[in-house]
Amino acid sequence: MPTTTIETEKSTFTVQAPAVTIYTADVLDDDEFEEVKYLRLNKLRITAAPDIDTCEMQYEFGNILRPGKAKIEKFTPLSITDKFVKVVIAAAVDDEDEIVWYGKIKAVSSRAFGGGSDGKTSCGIQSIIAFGLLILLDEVQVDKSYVDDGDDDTIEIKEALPFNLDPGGAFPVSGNRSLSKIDGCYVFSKEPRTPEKWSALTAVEYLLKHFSPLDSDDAVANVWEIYATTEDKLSLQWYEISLNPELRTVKQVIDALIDRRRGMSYRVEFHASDGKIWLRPFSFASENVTLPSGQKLYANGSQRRLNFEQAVDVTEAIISDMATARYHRVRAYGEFMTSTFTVPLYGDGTANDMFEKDWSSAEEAAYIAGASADAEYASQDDTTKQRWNALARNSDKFKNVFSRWRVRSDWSQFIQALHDPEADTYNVAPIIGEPDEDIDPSGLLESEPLWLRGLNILRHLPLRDRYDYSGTKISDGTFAGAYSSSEQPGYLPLMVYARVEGDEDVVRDDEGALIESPARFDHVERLSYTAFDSVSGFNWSCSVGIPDTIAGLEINAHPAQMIAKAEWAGASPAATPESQDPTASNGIDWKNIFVTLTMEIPKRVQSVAEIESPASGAPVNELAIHVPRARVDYVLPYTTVRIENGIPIASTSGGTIQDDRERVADIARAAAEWYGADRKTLQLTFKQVRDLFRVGWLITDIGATFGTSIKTPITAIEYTFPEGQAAPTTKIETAFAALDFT
Amino acid sequence: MATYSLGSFDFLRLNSFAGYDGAPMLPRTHCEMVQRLNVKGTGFVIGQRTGMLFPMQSFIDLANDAQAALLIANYHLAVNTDPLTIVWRDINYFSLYGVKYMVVDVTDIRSCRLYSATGGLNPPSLSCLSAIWHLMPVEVER
Repeated sequence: MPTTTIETEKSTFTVQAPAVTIYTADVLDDDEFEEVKYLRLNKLRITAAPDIDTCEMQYEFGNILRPGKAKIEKFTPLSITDKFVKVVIAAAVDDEDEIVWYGKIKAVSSRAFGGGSDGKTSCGIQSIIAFGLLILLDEVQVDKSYVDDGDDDTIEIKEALPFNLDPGGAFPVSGNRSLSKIDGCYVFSKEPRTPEKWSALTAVEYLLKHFSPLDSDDAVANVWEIYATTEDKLSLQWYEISLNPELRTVKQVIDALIDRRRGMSYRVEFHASDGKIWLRPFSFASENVTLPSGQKLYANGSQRRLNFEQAVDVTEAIISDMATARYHRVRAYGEFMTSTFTVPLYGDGTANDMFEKDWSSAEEAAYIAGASADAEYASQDDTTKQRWNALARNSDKFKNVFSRWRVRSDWSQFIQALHDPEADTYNVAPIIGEPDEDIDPSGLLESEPLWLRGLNILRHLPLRDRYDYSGTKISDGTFAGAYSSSEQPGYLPLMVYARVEGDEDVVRDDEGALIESPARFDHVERLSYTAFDSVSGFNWSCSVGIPDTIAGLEINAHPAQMIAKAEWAGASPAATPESQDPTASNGIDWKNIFVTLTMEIPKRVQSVAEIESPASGAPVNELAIHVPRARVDYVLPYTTVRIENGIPIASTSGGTIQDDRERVADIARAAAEWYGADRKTLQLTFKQVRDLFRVGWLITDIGATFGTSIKTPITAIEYTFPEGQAAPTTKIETAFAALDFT
Repeated sequence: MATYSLGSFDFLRLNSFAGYDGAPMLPRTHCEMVQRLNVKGTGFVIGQRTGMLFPMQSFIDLANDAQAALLIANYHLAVNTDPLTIVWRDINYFSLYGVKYMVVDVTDIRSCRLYSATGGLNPPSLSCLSAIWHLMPVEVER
């Protein structure tokens, strides 16, 4: 990147202290400004966002002999609160431009010195504070949204919709931007969930278009727009955004969108010739940074070398090397990895059985007995006995009976694959290593350790509705279904299904392809709608869930005994109406129930990139970066993915539904590259007021003598005009960005 | 005899302790020198023309003590009012330089009796008055 060298004065020089003229106006129109005499500038600080420029001024009032005047005159305090202000600092050197700044006066405080000897002439000093034009965006709240009406126009709704956020569903689905621009910018899509995602650039354009400050006639007071190079616009699109602007001001939202953690910031300028206010983004990178998505954070297009080694007017130069921003390695980590598989609720009695009953034999016997132990039970008629038994069985003390199963504390973490001709054993928590390493679930290898009592079984599977995961489609990567741009399918809930007819298992060939299924299966939650050959419908219902207090499963049949057909038949249950008798009303045996579930592996997808080694014996300084929504969702072979015509359809190959290991590794590498570069901050003060710098310019280095690189952009320029006759000064500050690559 | 006056106040003598031959001081261009450790050279930042507070001593004869007392009161009334024109050795500093003088303070006012004097401005010159004027030169529009 070619750079220009900035030098201030070397050896002997003479320069004029600049004159300052201040103007005010009611509206931000360059033709409307009028000079305010005797208003003195003390300090002007121009900054990059999220800070706002500040301007401190002073005005004396009372009986005053003004410079150049022959008589003492009476001056009253200025009434300029909420006016726009224009500060012009004349050029100190030929061939340089004057410094012009626009702002809005927001605070006027007066130090009053009394009413004078006649009691009528107040005198004192007014301290006047003006803020940069960015303050105007901090006075507008985002309290509505503009939505595509499908007819090349928009509708306004009185709700601030979030950018790329969908609170519904087990895993948030992002994307709610319109397909095409309307009146120059994108708006929210007609459908609440689309594949089209907002970027920082498009979101800021939308905000500036629709939320510019209005005047008293509800017309746009001044047009705001992004003014940027192509590279800077691209640099606003490399990262994902997702935020809710509700109850925030426009400035707060833009600051969150153009965040220094993304290597970007911006400054605001008033373009006097057309009355527009420009939002000008700039990059913190000194060189192009290639990012995990393949996109780039482009280098700052205005890089300058600063040479003040022989400058006699420099009063202070502080170069800071922050140890808090130096790391030895970067660890990027995402969400907990998941494993999806199918298990029977009742296994073969080996250590490979995942579940066991969460009720005791005594509770079961008492449940079956109902209220029959009551002293007055025997004297009741059958109808009353049935009612008493039903009430007794509904007691809270029996709520687990035939309803809750827990994960065995001695579970081996292996399962026997169901419907597998080879009857292989699979490891539910295989080691998931580097991106280029295959995941091997075979039972011969060690597994990730699981905390069985604290196992987190999720309420949803990572499988989407209407996608086809059967056969080898997961390993082939061909499972995604087609859907219109206006909708996205949700995730499937926990799948619990039962054999409702027949005793045999499905039959497959050696490759796992289904040959026949003599038995019939169905979701336990849908049994009331099922009609098979020998079963003419179910007249009871069932729901499934995950307990909040244990690692387990709940299947709540109504009544519970309807899934305990074998226990009911083998015992002598107390009086029960036929509709609640599983042996008479199409009950099923819970031992014929199977579950396709997803559990979290207590290990996050992560990657470590080394930057440098610390000194021997010194602690390692590690930067941890969380990559939201980075996942590895693994499905074991022969996992049942759907029931079709009563036949369980499985993914014979298994594989990863989502595998972000490479993305996480890229983020770690990119972060290591960024934090491994040598960067410092600079504060430089010199005794002149010169138009030599701009907020946003990146200082590369400060001359050969110091032999150090800076590579940080200017984030503040401060012009100070001291009282008395001391020369005014200019101070520049650069800042470092802790980049967030996620 | 040369004329010395400050506004409406005439004097037999009006001299500053600085300035050439006791003349009133004029505003001067401010300049700040800039130097830096380990760097050769000197810079100069040129500021605006400003005045500096300076003292002038005046002397006048008066007809009698009563007139002296009246003049003392008028001297005090001149403090912090509109700037006054100085005429020094017949040179009107406002006409020539565009400078007037703000009376910031008047101190060390001393009066004494004279028993014999000639050539005064206020015969029979039985009293005299001296004072120290603290003046600030200001440039004014002509």
